[in-house]
Amino acid sequence: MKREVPYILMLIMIVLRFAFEWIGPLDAWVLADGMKVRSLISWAMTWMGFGAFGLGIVNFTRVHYGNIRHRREHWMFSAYTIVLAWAYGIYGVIKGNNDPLFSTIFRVVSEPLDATMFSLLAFFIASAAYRAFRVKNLESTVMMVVAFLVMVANVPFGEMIWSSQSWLGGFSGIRTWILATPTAAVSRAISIGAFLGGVANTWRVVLGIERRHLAH
Amino acid sequence: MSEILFLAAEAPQYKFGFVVDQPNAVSACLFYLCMGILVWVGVSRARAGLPLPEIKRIPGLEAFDEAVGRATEMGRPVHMTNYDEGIGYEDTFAYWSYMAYVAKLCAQYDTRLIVTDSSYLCNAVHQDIVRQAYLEAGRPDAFNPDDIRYISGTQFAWAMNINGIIAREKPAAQFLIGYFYAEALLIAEAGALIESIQVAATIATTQIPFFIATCDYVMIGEEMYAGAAWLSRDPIITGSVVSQDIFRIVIFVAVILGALLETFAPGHNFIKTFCNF
Repeated sequence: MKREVPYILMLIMIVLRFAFEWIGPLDAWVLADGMKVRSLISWAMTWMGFGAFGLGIVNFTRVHYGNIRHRREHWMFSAYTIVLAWAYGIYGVIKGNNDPLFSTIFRVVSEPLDATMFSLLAFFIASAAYRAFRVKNLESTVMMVVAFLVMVANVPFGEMIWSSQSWLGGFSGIRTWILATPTAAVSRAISIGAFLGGVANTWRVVLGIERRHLAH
Repeated sequence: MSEILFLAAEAPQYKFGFVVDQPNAVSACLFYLCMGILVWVGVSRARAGLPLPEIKRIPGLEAFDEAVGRATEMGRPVHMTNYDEGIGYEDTFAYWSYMAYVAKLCAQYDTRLIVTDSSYLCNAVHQDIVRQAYLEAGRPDAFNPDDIRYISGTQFAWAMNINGIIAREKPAAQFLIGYFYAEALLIAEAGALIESIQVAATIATTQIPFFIATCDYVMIGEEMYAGAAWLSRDPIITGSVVSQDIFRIVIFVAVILGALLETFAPGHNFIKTFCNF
């Protein structure tokens, strides 16, 4: 029973989704008040998400309160987290999303942190590129030459030494060809393969062959 | 008034009287159904013990045992993650297969497994999968729910926390499986800096170069799904993978034929007409 019920529920949901995607009258099924059945299902999902969010808040508070109460390691961080999260949440509920202070706090705290993490990519790309582009064999040599061409075309210096108005469109023309022809071809081949894999994987789940997600 | 407007509105047009009037609707439906039939045929043949075409070996899959073994020897944990995860994502389903396998290996070798999540719903599923794997390995007492951690749904908050975990816990092996965005390099490079053995599998074409530059083994595109089936060592599941290869050949022929028809007889490209139907 523990195994069959989740699988049957999942199967019903898959069939419903499939039907709503393809069967026109079902997709356009309108209730008396003009609301589409499909929209109602979407609303139900939104409310389920809201319920999960509420559960998350309760759980979050419980976990951090437990840390503070038992004076676990780094309990001070739990105290900061609870105070800040609740204060910010209550303030947002009272004042609304458009309140200047509410949006300013987000802008000056969250966005700089995000930008800082994102900017680390520049350094990580440099160190990863150093390892990848070391000329060891023919493949890495080809990769390095192609990367060099694309890199030079992306900086003003490339335009200075070989203008896009000259033969072959300069570095810029070569970069465009590399990205639009071999790179796009390979990328689409990978995408088609991935799509096929995804569909086959979905069928394995639908047919009940693959049940590890149900911890079987 | 609204009733008059409703009655005056044009009745919706359907293909064959019931299929939604969207381009590709019929062709996509047929494609899905054919794929399903092929999967079923592959599975039935495997069940009946009939011969099936052999699946090519993927080097990355053999690295799983090696990576967990190395972590065991070093006495360091194994870390496994997927950023763009969600209940209902097909790559998340594949990720769960890998997770079940890695968790079982870790349980057998008595190695700590840390799983980090960006989805709170998936976190509950992951706890169950890992608990079950420890149970199957006969070591339910070794399962620690605190090692299956929900981090954040925000991209860089998640990446920052995982980089912190990598720096503090120093996992000897990392498995990055699923769909990733810009955070892929942040995590993989952090792992490379602590000389962790890293296996990545993704269908995100934009992140493949970063994984190739930083990871020891990379499974690209459909290899991720095939690997998920292959790891089960179950001939029935593996039999279903054959459908992928058959359809790939069909699509390859269709692409070549379609390109030739579009070039030499654009008005008679029946492949294009079928795909758009």
